[in-house]
Amino acid sequence: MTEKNQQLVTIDESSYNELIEKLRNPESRDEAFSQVVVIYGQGLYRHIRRLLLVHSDADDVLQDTFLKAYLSLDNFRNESKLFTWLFRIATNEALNFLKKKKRNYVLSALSYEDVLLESLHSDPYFDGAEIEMAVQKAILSLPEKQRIVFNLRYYDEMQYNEMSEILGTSEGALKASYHHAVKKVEKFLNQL
Amino acid sequence: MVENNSSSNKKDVFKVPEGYFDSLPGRVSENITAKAKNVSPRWIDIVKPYLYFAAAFFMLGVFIKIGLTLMVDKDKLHQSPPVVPALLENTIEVDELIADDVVFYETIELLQDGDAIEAAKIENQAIEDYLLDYDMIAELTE
Repeated sequence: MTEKNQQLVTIDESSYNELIEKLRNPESRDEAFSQVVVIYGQGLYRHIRRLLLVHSDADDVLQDTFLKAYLSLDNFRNESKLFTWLFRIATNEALNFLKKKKRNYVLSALSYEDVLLESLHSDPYFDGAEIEMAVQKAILSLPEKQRIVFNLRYYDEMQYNEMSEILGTSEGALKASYHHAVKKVEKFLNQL
Repeated sequence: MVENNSSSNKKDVFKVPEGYFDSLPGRVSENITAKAKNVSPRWIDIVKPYLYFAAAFFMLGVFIKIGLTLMVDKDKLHQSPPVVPALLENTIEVDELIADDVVFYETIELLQDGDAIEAAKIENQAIEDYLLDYDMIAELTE
């Protein structure tokens, strides 16, 4: 039923360069893109899922991320790594998804975060005890940018320089953001 | 929990349906085939080749214009000093010479005219009167 948590897949430099070459060639593009999905799919999914919490939403956004990436392959200049480029697309797609969802709850008594937390209780793909639920509640209380920083740093253990490329924010600002996020989460959990 | 950043402490609470990641490449590929390859081209993609052609044509026109302007300027640079003022100056001098010649020839014509020569004859008596007036005869006879 469940799959084991996996760290982000890394490939060696020669395989990476070969993959980029294949992506540039229209004849080998589709095959190479399937490789991209295999290599980066899980990491991207977990990044999106931690922001959206619900599996079906994360799946929709992941599909949109890959679709957008495929259509924009000609714009990929290889100045940033494929991994950071895909994470950037995924982050933007997830944030846009959240924005659209939140719009539906503007006039509602409940916030979208409240609805998400409620849905977690009945989500068959959420395997957490009360403490994990409390942690998710604490993370959901953070501003979106801080949530992303917290998730990338705490769960994915991503380096600040990579986060900087993905989020377009300086490393110093990211460190400060993570520090504030940790303090808020701790405070939230201590109040329970 | 938060302070301890070790991976062992981070339970992944988000699960996925069985075989989700195995079937992911296939589903992504299907999605791309269904959506990306059926996407109607945007108007900008249709117009883009014509825009490039128009831009190239415009630039060619600009280059030709610049080239012609430079060629004309170059000719001007190689020209001798302004001709027109010199011609005008010369013309004035020539005209003055011609005018002097006209007066000269008119005078000659007048002198050649018999009546005029006759009129110009000075009578001897008048010469004597002139000389007497200035006591010049006495000086001559001394």
